[in-house]
Formats: sequence, structure tokens, C-alpha cells
Amino acid sequence: MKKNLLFIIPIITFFLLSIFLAIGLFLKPREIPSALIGKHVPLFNLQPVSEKLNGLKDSDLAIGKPVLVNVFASWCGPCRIEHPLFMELSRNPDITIFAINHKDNPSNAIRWLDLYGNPYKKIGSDLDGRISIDFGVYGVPETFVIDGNGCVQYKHISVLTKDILDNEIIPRLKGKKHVKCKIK
Amino acid sequence: MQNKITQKSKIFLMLIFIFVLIENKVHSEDKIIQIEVLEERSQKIYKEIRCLVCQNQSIEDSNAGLAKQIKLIVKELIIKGYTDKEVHNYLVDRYGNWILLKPPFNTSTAALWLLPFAILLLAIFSGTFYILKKNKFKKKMPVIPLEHDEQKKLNKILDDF
Repeated sequence: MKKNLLFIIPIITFFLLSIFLAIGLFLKPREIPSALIGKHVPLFNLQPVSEKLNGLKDSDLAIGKPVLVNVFASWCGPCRIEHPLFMELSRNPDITIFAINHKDNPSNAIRWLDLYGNPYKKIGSDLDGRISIDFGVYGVPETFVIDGNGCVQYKHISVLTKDILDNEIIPRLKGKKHVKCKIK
Repeated sequence: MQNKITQKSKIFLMLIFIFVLIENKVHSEDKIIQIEVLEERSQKIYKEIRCLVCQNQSIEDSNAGLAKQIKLIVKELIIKGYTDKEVHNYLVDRYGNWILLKPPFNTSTAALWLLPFAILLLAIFSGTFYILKKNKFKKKMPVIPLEHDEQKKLNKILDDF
């Protein structure tokens, strides 16, 4: 009986190891969880990309209802892929989308928006990418959900998909899956 | 009389001039030392910060734009008077512990830090236990004398040898 038990140990170890390795297969180590979730947005005040459009500042992100902030650039290929989703979202009057134009030439950004449409209510031009660093951005596109008090709820890295939009972003815009904000 | 005064003021002026020169020299040396300290400290921090674009490279090794920018920020913060720890905290606040190449010890990383030692201890314990048990077993075993024909065979082998 005791000997049987000893034989079981390697088998159990093997199965435990396989379970951990199987989990490891489906991890996405390239996608770093945001350190800002549950924290207030950093202080910032970004200039508009053109005189006709609005710039973006931190108080714009605390308007009493959840908002989306998309970090994009005209030089960013994947941004074009997700752009139709934002265009579609912008047709819904309940959804407010803001943007940070990341390390981009404002005139290129304007041309890009003229070409593909402008779903953003306000766009801040982050010429040197300094504010993006305060937001913990390390590549474009990235999309943030920010609650009515200016508290970061969620961040999606890389191209936004319909699946992520329906399962992660829309529920949070409706106030579900709310993360309590740490008071500064 | 007039001459004496100008003589005196000349010496005075010269003294001032020499003093300014020395002061300047000391000052510039101070500056050089400051720059060296800044360089040394920032280099040390660069090695501890992970590049977010070329992951698993430190920002020192990386040529990515973001790495260069974070290097500049590190220098800025040091000039502002941040300690090394405060520079780390500044970056961790924005990018999480992930940005540190050496993860800090806390509840979520305890297993990571302690498991290797736990496994090592387990191996040492089970190893000594196994050896001790085996020795005990050997000692208990009575030595059976060889059979007659076995002894004969052994003798033959030894003789041939």
C-alpha cells in the first residue's frame, strides 16, 4: 500500500505540471496589465490637432459617465483596422470617445481623420509621447475605459476587436465590472 | 601717492582675477563630478528597467524609441533630486512591477522567490532520508555465506586472475 502511494506521487506531479504548462500556453506575456487600473488619470492638458477641434485635458475624462480614450496615430497601421469599430460606436449618442494622438504630426492626423472619419469628441495631441508615458502606454493602439470620476477601469492593448468590445468594453461603459478607485 | 594707489588697486584686481579663475575651475570640476555621478546612477537604473517594446531587454540595451525616452525621463528625475528608489516607483506607478527586471518581493511574488529554496530543501531532506534508510537496511541484512560450489567458482576466477 505504501509503495503504491509512492508511485502515485510522480503521476500527480506530472499532472500538476501539465496543468500549469497548459495555462502557460494561453498566457499573453506581451500584453502587460495596466498599472493604472483603479487609479485616477494623470494630470495633463494636451493641445488640439487643429484649431477647429478640441484639445483634451484630464478634467474632460471625469464627466460623470464612463468614457473611452483611444490612443492612436496616423502612422499606426493597426489603428486603421480598429477605426471602423470606433466609427460605429460614435453613432451611438450615449458613448463618448476621446483620443490621444500619439507622437504624430498634427497635419497628418487631420488628413487621416478626414480620410477615415473622426469618431472622437476631443483629441489631445501628444507630440513627444510624454503624456502617453504617464498613461502607461507602450504601443499604439491602446484603448482605455475611464469611469465618471476619472478613474481608469480597463485598458485594451493593440487592435480592438468586436469580441473585446462586446465582452469587456461595453459592460464597463454601462458601469458593470466596476473597479473601486484608490483615493489619492 | 597717486602711483601707490594704482599699484594697490592693480594688485587687488589681480587677486580678484586669480580668485575668479580658481573659483571657476573648482566650480567646473564640481560640475564634471556631478555629471559623472548622474551618468553612473542613471546607467545603474537603466540596467534594472525593462524595455516595454523589446521585452526581456533592459532599456540600456534597447534602441527602441520608448526606451530612449524612458532613459531621458530617468535622467530628468535624478536631476530633480529623486532617489533611485523613487525613480523606480515613478515608473512602476505607470507601468507596474513588470517594468522592473528584478521583481520585488511581495505576496504575489513570494512563491516565485521562495519555491526554488523550498524545492532545494525538500531535495536535501528526501536525499538524506533515503541514504540513511538505505544504510540502515544494509546493516540489518545478515551476510549469507557462499555455497560450496559458489566458493569454488570464486576461487577459480581469483586463481585465473
